[in-house]
Amino acid sequence: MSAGFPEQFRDLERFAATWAIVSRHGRYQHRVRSTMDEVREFYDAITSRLEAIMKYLNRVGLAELPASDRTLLYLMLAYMEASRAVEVIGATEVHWGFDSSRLKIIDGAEL
Amino acid sequence: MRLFSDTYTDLKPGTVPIEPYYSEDYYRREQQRVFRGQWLMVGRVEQLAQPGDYFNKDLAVLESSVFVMRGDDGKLRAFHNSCRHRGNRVLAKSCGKLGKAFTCGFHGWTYDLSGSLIRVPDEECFTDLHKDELGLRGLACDTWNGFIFINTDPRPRESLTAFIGKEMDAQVAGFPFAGMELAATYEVELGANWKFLAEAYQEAYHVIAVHKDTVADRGTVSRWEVERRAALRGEAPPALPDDPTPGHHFSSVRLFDRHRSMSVFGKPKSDHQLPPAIDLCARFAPSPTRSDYGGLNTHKDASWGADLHFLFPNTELLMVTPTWYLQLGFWPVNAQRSRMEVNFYRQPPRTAGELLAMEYFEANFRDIVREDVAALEPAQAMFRSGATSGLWLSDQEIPARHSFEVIDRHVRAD
Amino acid sequence: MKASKDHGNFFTSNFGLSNDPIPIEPYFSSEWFKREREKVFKRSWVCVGREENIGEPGDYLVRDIPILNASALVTRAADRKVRAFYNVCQHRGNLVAQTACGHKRSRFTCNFHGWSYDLHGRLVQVPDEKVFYNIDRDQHALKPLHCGVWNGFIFVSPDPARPLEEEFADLGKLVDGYDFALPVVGSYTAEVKGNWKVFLDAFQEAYHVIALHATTVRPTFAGSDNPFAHLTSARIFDRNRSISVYGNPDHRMRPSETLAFKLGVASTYTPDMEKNAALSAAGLNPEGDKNWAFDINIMFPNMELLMGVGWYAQMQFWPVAPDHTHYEVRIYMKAPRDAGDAISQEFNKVMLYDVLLEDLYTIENTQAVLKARADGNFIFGDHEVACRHNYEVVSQMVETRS
Repeated sequence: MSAGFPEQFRDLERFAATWAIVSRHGRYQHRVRSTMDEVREFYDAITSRLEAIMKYLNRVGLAELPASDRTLLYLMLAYMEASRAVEVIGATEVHWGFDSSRLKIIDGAEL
Repeated sequence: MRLFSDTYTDLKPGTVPIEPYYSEDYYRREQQRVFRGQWLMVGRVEQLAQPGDYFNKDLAVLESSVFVMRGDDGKLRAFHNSCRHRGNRVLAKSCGKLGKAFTCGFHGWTYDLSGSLIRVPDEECFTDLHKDELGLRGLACDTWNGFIFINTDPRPRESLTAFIGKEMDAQVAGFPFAGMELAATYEVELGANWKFLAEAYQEAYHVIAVHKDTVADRGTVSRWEVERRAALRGEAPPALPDDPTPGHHFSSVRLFDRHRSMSVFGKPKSDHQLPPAIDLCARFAPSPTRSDYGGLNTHKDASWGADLHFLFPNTELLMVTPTWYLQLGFWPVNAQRSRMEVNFYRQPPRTAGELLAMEYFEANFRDIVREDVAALEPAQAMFRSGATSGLWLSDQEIPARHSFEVIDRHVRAD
Repeated sequence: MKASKDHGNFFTSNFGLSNDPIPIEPYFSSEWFKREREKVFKRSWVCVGREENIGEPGDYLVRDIPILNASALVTRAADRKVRAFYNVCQHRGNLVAQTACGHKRSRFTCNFHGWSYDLHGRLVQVPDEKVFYNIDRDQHALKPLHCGVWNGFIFVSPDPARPLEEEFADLGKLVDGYDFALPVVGSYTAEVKGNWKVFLDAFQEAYHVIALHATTVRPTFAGSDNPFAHLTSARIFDRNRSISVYGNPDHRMRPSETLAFKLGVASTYTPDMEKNAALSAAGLNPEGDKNWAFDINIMFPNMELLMGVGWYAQMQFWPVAPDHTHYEVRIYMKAPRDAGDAISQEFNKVMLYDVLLEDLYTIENTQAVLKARADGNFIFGDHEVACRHNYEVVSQMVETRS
């Protein structure tokens, strides 16, 4: 199934099914359930295209961003998860960590 | 029939009071007098073969996490797993191997293998800091037959040797503990007082009811089942030959000052029909010769089946053959909750047949434990109801009575 | 050698605090916890929300305060005033408002027997009133809580030792001009087996950055000229306190961080404010520290505001039991205008989440072994001065007779 990426990002569509996840919780879960190789492959593919993707996504305001570009936006949000694993920790999870199912993510809303 | 009560006449007859099996207050005194300052079995030396090897043990009853480690000098040492700076757990994993030193993950304070504080990052910003006084808090640590014991009192009132005592030591002398490997560990946490749990493993009376299916290959159980079914039908029990060796009875019991040993009847193989799988195991199990039986049936009972050795306050060894044994730990979590650990040790199997046989013993014991545990929680749930004022114990359950009396003696000591 | 910021007890002695080790018992004892309820929390101000949460007359919010065994109902009436009450019907004690928040309410009707109260807490209706002999409605209004607003944060207290304005006056001067009226862009919450002071302490010092956060944020908050993440400055205002955290100027930004910063805000990186005055903001970096990253302003007893350029985070540590704390953090930033803003914010949320996993894990590990060392002490270094000060304040309050 096509994620409807514009022509110049068609090659990134292969990540859409796995990484373009709507919720913060879902993106975090996907990061920690992936292998480092999977995370790195995704990270490398996006890193090399950062400028172009951002130029494209930022051409309009968030409210005006067409629904067809949302998938690419979620992919970029997931990139921030991947970057922690690759750039910082060197593993998909922090080495000594609290059980993440107990640190609840309540995004953009009051508790 | 009073086999044992006439021997141990100083044990009070009658019921055992029930309050100590749920009271918070009693439990607090147990923490202070039965667990703190006493020798507690926490592991085996094989777990810590090399310098730097350690394991952690979370002990709710001591409100602590304790670790035991082998130092550079080969000595075993035990410590509260709590950094002297801000109290964080210094070693976070359940076990592992350390180099020359180890570091608290919170702020990086570093200790050597003898527990001494050797490095404090940014030490200049602490005032009056004396590193030599800030080693990890130690516990006493010693071994008996390769079992590691700890004592919260760094200078215990009695040595481990004196604690074990000559009588208990003699019971298992010659048993090949050292050649065994840990094959499996079971852990279960349940809603029952720790004494109630431990006592279930110090009497065989419940075998006829609780284990009627799992231990059915013991002749007496099937006999009891035949009688029960007859009674349900309102019939007279069928005439059966008198059984000289009831499998739910002890053949002998030895009560020491704090510890105790019990031997269970066993039936000669020829006396009962074995189902195919058990038969297979019986044929392929390592068949030690009589002379290998050092440390087993020291009392020389006829029709001997197994030994149970209970070490005050909360450890038991269940020994059946020279090729495997079980170690059970009964750890309080709170007044009405416990955690049981069962460690299955065996001689490394040499053939597939031996492996199969061990597998059977291990699986069978797991089922037996599940039956035991299932029976305890519903009883505990009724303890506070007032429906029961005390526990009735039979002559055959005298080790359970002794277990309670010894604990109670410590709780009431000044 | 004379004490300096990088040597000896510089802050500790400047603030007139002792160097003594701190007893551990207050960090797990049930007895002590009970006294904290009576002497600390009943006499202090706790934050129950932001003014924007109840912006219009008829808006309300409900907030559980476990250590007070209370639920607070906060309303805004037609006179636009914010009021707070114990959320308890005066008839048989049921909760008057059952939902966490709501709008356009003119009255609250208890769903047990139907007694109704208005936004001022007045009892306005009693079904079958005649069977209650001459009930005096004025005597049965909702029981009020003291309530006040500081920089848009709504605070309540059962019996405050001081008026709100006085309590936080100095901190108010410190953050004067800062724009707190930002939306919450992300929030996290957790139930943690740790004493509230153990919890708070982990968030009022940076000494642990080098060890606990070695793989996450160490390169950001420690550097070659400050290897131990020393505070750049610290302030004490009676019960409250404020510390400033160092930012490593040599910190090498990685692609995701560069992107986040370029698009919006990277809370791990602060531009040189001296060189780039346009980026400086009122209410931050009170002592004009060099290589400053952000401030932590701790509002006694259980809240702190972490404040940086373009972001702030509000943390609250709600004591539930001696070894149990309900934790909440909210990240406040400008509402995202474009994809770049959203992606930039995501960087900050993800970074904080990983760091919190490390912190919370350590808090539980610490609590787990405290009791066994009942005779032991905590040893606070000079850069843990805020932890020491918190202990001093709490123990003084707990030990006062009143």
